Amino acid sequence: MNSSRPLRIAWFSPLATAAHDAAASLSVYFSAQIVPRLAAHFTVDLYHDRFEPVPGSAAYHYLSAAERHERQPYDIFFYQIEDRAESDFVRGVCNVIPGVTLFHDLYLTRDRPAPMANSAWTAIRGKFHDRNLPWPARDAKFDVGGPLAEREATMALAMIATSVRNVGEYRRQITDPLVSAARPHESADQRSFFLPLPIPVRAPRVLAGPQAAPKSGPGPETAATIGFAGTPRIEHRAHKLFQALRDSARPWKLVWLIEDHERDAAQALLDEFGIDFATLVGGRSPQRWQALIDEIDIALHPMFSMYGDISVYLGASMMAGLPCVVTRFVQTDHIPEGLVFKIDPGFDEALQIREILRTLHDRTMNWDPQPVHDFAHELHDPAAVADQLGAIFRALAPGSRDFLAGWQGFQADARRSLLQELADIMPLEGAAERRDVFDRLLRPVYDELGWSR
Amino acid sequence: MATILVLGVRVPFTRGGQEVLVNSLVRELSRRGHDVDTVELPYWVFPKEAFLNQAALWRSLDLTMAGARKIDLVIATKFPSYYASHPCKSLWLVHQKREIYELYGSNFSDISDDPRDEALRRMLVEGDKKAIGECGYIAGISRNVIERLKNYNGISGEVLYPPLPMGERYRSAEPENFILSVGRLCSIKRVDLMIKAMPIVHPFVKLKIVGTPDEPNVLDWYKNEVEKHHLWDRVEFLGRVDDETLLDLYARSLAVYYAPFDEDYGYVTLEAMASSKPVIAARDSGGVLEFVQHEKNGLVVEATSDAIGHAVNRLVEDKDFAKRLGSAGRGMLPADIFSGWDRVIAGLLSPLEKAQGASPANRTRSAQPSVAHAGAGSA
Repeated sequence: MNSSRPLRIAWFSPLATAAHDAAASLSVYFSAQIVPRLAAHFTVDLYHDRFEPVPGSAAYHYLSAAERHERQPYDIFFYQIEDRAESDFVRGVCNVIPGVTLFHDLYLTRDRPAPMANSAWTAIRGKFHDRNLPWPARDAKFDVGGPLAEREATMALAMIATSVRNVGEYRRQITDPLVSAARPHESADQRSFFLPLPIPVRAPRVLAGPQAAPKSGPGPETAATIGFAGTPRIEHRAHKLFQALRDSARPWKLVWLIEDHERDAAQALLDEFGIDFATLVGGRSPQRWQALIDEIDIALHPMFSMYGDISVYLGASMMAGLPCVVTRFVQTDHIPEGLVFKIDPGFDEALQIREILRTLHDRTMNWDPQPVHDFAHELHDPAAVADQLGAIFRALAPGSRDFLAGWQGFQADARRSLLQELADIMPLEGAAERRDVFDRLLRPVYDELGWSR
Repeated sequence: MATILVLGVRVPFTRGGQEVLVNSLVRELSRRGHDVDTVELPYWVFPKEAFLNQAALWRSLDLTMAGARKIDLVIATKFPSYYASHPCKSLWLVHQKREIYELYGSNFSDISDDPRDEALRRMLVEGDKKAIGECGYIAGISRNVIERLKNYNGISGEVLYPPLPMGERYRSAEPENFILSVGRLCSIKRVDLMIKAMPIVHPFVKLKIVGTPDEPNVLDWYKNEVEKHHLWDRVEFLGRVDDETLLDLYARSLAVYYAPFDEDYGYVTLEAMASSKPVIAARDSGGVLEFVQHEKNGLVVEATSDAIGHAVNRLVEDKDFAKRLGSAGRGMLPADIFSGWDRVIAGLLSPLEKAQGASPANRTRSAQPSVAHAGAGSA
């Protein structure tokens, strides 16, 4: 292999098009941030599930990837899995040619589409390692499993997660991945990686609000602005925040970034708590939040759930040096105490939030944005994230090429097996007669169409 | 005058738009003086791997001669008929094997991530390119079908909308309080959404369903929904009906529900419009939306039973609005939807001109009696 040629990456992700921006999707966001940076060192072919052009990029429909790989092989197939409808096609195709999978979500609330839900992946994995095993029976039922993306994670050659928690979950739960039989010497550490989401670097905000510095700026009677990017659902603790605000004796403004379809539910929740100082902003996306940062004095990012990932919103707030309130739960374990305000989930959550907000509002403590910004900068700098991903690709490429060659042979076995099935389903008595009729009547056509190869 | 075979595909015991199209085409070719007949092979949807054998069977046929008679042209329609081999072949594409293309990965496809299924998919894609690419003339029944062919296979074609099967016979009458659904009963037609919408629709409104099932257990599923929601006296399964009954149902309906997923064409849409009735469709109904525009000649809503139920109520509560939509729909029909066969046949016979260097004669004969069918449905 020519080591000087750029690695070829087949990149599967929903993408933003003129007709469909899908801005809330982390896969779309990640692709937009990272692919241009990788393009200098890698050949990245984008695959999505539409035919509209993607501004600024050459992109192809994902069903054409296998054919293109045959013509000019890729070194790595790269997939992004996310708990959103836009990513469903990736979940469907990531087992067809296994590759490196980035999990924005490792626990999924969405069901797989029906044929993939009955995926025979456990049997396929077994067959890949032991060709003497039979192919799974066509009418067999397979366990769909729970919310853990076990199928997608097991069949990945390597996994990347945008949360430390999910890397830990992978190492704990995925004990027999696809490649383990071929590479028993390899530990889970060598095929699972944490990669933070990229966030454009910006200078920390000069905070003009009450918490900027003691003895300067407006006093406690001036309204400060709270920013919140959670959903109205219970896991983002909006009800606790609104309880805290309702019980607070301070003037506040609230800017709530939501997805458009959440508007009714969000307004209902605000009405329930009598919050009449909120502005609902639609079109939730990482870019939209980054644009709103300059209007916000305090950012709230509580979350208590195994589903979802807040890191791109929290990271943007920290990049701006904002004081942030988060839940002391696995998603924030890697953030040092003192850089954010961590609250414990439980019956007094609202009280904890209220006290933190009072402290910040009344300027009873100093708030220095610089260390917060520095931490976020080191973690989320897009150039660093792209470098890390590139390093992962380079490290995995030799193994991936070996695997893809082996998988190609496996696919050829599958084709031969299919041809055998086609003879077996001829409506005739006796295997020999079926084979004879198939070979005499249909085999010439199969040969002519190129189906017998 | 040419000797022509029209190649059709038949799922035994079911009738739908494809059968209507083939019968209509044969009738119109015959009227124009051509010697025409149909070749149909049965089509089995299970097991899925049998598709390859079925395609190969078509290709194994010798269609160049019928006895001592030379076949000048074959006209293929639907997968897998276009695998037939003939030196002079036209294609009026109803649809390809959608499960390996736009339905792949959805609940309407049975192609899984098993490597054997991937092999099946690749083989069919390669085969389609070859079999369709060798056609002397390529057209599709709608823009949706032709765009899919271009997007997935890189093959260009013309759009030839099928004229309405019953010509000028569609009529309108004072609407009664029922919604009409016409078409094959299968999951992709999403008749279940209309049934599930009925509990929120005004209780004096009924649903009449014309069509026969072509999926296992689908009728049981619908009847379970009727049971579950206590709709026994509001939902009626009419099965197959003859032409006159169908025309009468269209005429008397308040509106026509037709909200399949990513439809190829939608005879039902145009039959509703020809009967001056509004159409209730969904935002992802594909070819239907080439003709239905929201609040112009119908209502286009989210594919949920809630949205559909509210759409029905809107028409029930404002019958003048429903009538206006229906009248507008009649006026929005394509100009040649009743009698555009000349254009269709000129296109489909064009390979003959290249082969023979002469224009086929288009003599008109007297009208043939219509063929009874279980609703035009759609391909």
